[in-house]
Amino acid sequence: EAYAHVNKGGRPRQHLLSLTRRAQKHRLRELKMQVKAFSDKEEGGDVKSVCLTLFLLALRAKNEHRQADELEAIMEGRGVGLHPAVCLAIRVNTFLSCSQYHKMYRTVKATTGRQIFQPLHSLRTAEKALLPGYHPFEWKPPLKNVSTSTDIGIIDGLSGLNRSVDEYPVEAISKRFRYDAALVSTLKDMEEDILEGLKSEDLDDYLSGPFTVVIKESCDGMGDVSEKHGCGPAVPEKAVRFSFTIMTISVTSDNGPIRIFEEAKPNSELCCKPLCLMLADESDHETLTAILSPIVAEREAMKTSDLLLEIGGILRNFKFVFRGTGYDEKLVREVEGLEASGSHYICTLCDSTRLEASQNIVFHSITRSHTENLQRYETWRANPYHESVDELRDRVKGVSAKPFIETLPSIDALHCDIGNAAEFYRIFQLEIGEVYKNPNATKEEKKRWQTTLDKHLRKKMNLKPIMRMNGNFARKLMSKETVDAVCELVCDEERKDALRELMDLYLKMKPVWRSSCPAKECPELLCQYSFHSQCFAELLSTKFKYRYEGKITNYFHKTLAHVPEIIERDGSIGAWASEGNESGNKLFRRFRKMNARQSKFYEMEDVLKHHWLYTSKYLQKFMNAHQALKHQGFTLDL
Amino acid sequence: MTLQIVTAVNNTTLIQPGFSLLRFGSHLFFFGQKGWPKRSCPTGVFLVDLKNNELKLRPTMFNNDSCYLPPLRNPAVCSLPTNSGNEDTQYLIHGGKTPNNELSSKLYMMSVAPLINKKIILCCSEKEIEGDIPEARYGHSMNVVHSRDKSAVVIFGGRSYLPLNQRTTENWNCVVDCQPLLYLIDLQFGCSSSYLIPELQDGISFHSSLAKNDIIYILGGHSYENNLRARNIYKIKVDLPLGSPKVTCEVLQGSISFSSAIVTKTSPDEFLIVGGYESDSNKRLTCNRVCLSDDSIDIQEFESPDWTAEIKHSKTWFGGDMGHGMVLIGVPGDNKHQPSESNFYFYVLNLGQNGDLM
Ligand SMILES: [Zn+2]
Repeated sequence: EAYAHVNKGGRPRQHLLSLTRRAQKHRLRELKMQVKAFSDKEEGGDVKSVCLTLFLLALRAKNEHRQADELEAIMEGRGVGLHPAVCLAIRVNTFLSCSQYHKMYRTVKATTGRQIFQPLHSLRTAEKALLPGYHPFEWKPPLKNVSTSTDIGIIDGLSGLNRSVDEYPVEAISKRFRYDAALVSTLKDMEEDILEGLKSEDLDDYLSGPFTVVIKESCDGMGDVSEKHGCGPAVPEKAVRFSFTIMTISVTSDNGPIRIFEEAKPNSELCCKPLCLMLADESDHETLTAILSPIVAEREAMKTSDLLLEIGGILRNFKFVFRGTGYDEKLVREVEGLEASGSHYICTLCDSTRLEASQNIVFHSITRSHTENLQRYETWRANPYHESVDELRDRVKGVSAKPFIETLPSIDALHCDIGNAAEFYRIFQLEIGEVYKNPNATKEEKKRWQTTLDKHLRKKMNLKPIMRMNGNFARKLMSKETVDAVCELVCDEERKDALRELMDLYLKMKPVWRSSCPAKECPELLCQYSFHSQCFAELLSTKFKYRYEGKITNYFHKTLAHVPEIIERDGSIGAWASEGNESGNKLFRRFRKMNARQSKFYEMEDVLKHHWLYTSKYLQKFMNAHQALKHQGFTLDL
Repeated sequence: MTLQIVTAVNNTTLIQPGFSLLRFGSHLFFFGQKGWPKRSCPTGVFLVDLKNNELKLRPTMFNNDSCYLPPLRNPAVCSLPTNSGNEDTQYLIHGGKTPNNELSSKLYMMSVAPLINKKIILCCSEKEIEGDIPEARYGHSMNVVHSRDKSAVVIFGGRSYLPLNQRTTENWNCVVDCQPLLYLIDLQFGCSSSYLIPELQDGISFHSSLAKNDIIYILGGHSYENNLRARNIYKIKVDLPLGSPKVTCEVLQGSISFSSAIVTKTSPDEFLIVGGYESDSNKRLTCNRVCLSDDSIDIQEFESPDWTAEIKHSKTWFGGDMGHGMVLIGVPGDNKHQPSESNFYFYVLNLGQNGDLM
């Protein structure tokens, strides 16, 4: 009688193994209860051992001894083979090329007589499921101008750009994923995190949504990535990468939105997923727009559509919010149609001119937006009030090109630090030269101050002179120790105090824009930020008037005028920075060197694939588990 | 005939394939710079200064009545006399690719504004057109025809992106031939109408078009769909009676096939065709002289210049008509190592009689 419900409705019975876990549970419920009763009675409640033994006996009865041996080995805690995903994780994380991996696989097999590593083909099967294009999905309504096929992997980033002889010559090479397919793959990769998130928030795990996914977008030129390929000289090449990070996933409930996933390390290269790679110069506007425009079109289409995707065996509904904050100022200006950084209009967040910003250092609010930039470009183009070029420029506040990517006006924390450190480095030199009392120094004198500063910093702070300010130098330069060292070169006590105070205030402000959640990590400094910034501004316009009368640097303006408003809006500045993308540059070079075919045509594809796998949370979990086991001595130490 | 290498000494990185040259009297202007205009020249239009074999581009201003058109690659450009009847010309600019790779469908008119402080200033205005307007395109042609004391602007050919219902993000940058329709625009009223010409089967782009009175000859060009550079010459006659215009077409057998050639006018009825491509892999190193008489066209081979090795060996070249039988030619260089410098070598080819215009 217990089996009476099995063939309900006369439907053909599905194979047990083809069912979802939930359905499997349901079908075997009776058996499980019986096994449990048996175990309790005869084997001290050890259900697992009973099942495993049954399984072993079944295998041996069918002469499947190899599998049975492996299973026994696992039971005894001496794992024989590694899971293909572990092998893939090891291969990607240690930058092994396929042939290097294969050699290792062969050697280990020959010396131990056992197949500890899995052969390449099983790694390929494992990687297929992790790359975009594997899982089916659907958009409601279908995405505008995006094909409905879902099995779409790596595609040509040029999107059919014509190379015929009459056409504009384009020499770029680009490979990319389709944005929607890449997002699907990322969500599937996070399946466990999503289900765990639901559980930990005490939500029903069958909840179908809508889930809101917030995405940080980054884009950056990588500078010279020249690589010696085969023979011949290294040719300077530029590369650009567009990447994204899933920052949060939340679900609406009766009590408002509940966050079920939050990226713990939003600036790590481990979660910054590459979407598009190109060998092109970021300042080649024609090429950059040709390659990024289809990506922008995909993103625009996704904004107004819902994704239907199976997560945990259930079809769920996802909405996406895109926030382009991971751009440096140069690129923001390039893609939003603003004049270059040296412009009279100094800010990408407000309309302030350099003069206005120096006269009113602290009080500005964010007024710029992508939509307005587009309107302003049209005003610039049409000049409807018949104005002179200067009047027109003032009307549109320096927008003179048509924007083509929507960015979110923000501060790039990393470049903010670098920009401000460059300015402090300059102030130190000017103080050594006592410019506050003798402003007319010659070029040679200025050069001498820099040499003095460089020598001193090298001796006292172990800071080697650099050509261009970078993150590491900035971090070391912006410290109490550095300013103390610099003060040794300054005679006037009052000037020393001013310098120390300037640095002290800066160091009290910096954590506020650097931390991922200032309200939790530095609540007091957050409260005092406006006060500190006003003191800093006061100091600039009095003690450092010689440099800041009528002018101010772009980053000082942003730091002093816009930080509190952005934190109120986004909760953090640091979390939305471009560092993940920056550290991804190192990976690009490594993958290109270690894992890519030595051909211009194929290498981008290989780099993109490896970089994508490198950012898989699923593989990272396997890797972590493997490392943990290794430490406990469970697996072979390689 | 002279072929002179010239050195681009400033703003050299702004010159790119697809630019246009506009001649107002003795002044020559460059339009269609690479990238969006910068602060140093917000108009994106430069006075071409060619002295001592040095090519300099000098920023040019617009007057207050102007609009600021984007730089456009491969627009259709044609000159037309002003109403005043004197030597002054104005230029019409239609379509083209913007630096963002969008195609323009707008029609602009560029003319010389009255002199202020002896500085030459231009005026750019947008011409509104209504009716059956030509879709956004590039690589097409524009001419003015005169018939019965009336005149009309003729737009033909070109390429555009795939129609919206076929364009996906994976073929986003694919292009197709525009329908082989002929557009007539009445400049006075700004109305446009299209004409289907049965003789024109394929769309054509990067062709040359020569006009005399009420006749336009369409020569050369590339048909994208069947990758063909046909030899046909289409002789199109536009009659502009009081009622609706009448367009007729006659197909003539031509002897030359080419695309992307530069046409320069040496006398009211004589044109020279220079440069361009015979096929996807061959530049066209021969030149031709085209003479238009009242009802016929005559094409003769013309003595070719002694092309330099750089020109002979480069895969691509490009350029523009400087007027007076002179042509500016650019060929790709190999100085990719210094991105601040131009990627091109430039030459001025003088086919006219007066060699001292430089
Ligand atoms: Zn601002």
